Amino acid sequence: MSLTVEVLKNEDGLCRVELNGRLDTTTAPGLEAKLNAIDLKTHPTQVIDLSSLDYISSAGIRVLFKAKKRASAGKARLVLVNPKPSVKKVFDIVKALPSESIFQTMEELDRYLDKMQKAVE
Amino acid sequence: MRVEFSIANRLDEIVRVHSELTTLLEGSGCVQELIDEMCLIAEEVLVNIISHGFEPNTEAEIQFLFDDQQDHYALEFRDCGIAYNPLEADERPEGKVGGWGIPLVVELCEQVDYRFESEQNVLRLTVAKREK
Repeated sequence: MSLTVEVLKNEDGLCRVELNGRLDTTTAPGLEAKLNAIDLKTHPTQVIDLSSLDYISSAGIRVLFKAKKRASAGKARLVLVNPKPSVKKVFDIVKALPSESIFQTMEELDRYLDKMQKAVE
Repeated sequence: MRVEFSIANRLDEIVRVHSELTTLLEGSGCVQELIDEMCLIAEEVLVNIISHGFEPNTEAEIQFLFDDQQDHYALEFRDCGIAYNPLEADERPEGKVGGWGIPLVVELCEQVDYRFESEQNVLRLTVAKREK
C-alpha cells in the first residue's frame, strides 16, 4: 500500500511526474507536497504519468484537481496521461477533471504538446 | 461467510481495512478490478465517517462487516457517531474541491441502505460479483 512519486524535470520547461502504486487517503498528502514544490515559472507544463498507478480514491482526485487549479492560476498547464481502466473509471464517475486534460496515450499527449509548442513559436 | 472486526476512528486504519478486505476477496476468488472497487468503497465510506461522524478528538470504534453471499458481496459499517445519513447529501459538486466520495460509492454499489438503530449509524452496501 504505497505510492512512489518520481519528479523528472527537463530544461524545456516540462516536468513529468510518474506515479507508481496507490493514490489514496494515506498517500495523497505526500503527492500534494511534491506537486506544490514544482516551480510553475521554470516548469509551466506538468505531465502526470498515470501508467503505473493501480488505484485512486477521491483523496487522490482532490490532489490532482487542486494541482490543476494551481497550474491554471499560475498560467501553467497540468495534464494527465495513460490512466489504467480502473483509474479512468473513477475519473469518469467523478468528472472533477476536464476530459481534455486527460490523454489516453503518450502519442496523443505528444501531439498535443507539439501543437502547444508550435502555438508558442 | 461473514467476517466482522472493529477499527479505530483514525484515517491510518484504512490501510488495515484495505489489507483485510483484499485478503478476504482474494480468498473468495474475486477479480482484481472488483477488489479495487470494494477497497475504494470502503475507503470513501470510512473517510466520511471518520472525518464527519465524530466530535473532534473523540476516540471511537467503527464496526466493519464483510458478508460473502452467493451472487454479491456486502459491506456494513456501524458507528456510534453523530446520526447522519450520507445518502441525503448525495449531490455531485461541480467546480469545487471535494464531496466526491459518497457519489462515487453510490455509483459503484448495486444497493446502499442507511438506517439509524440502537443509537448507531448503520450503512450497508451491496456489490454484485463478477465473472473472471
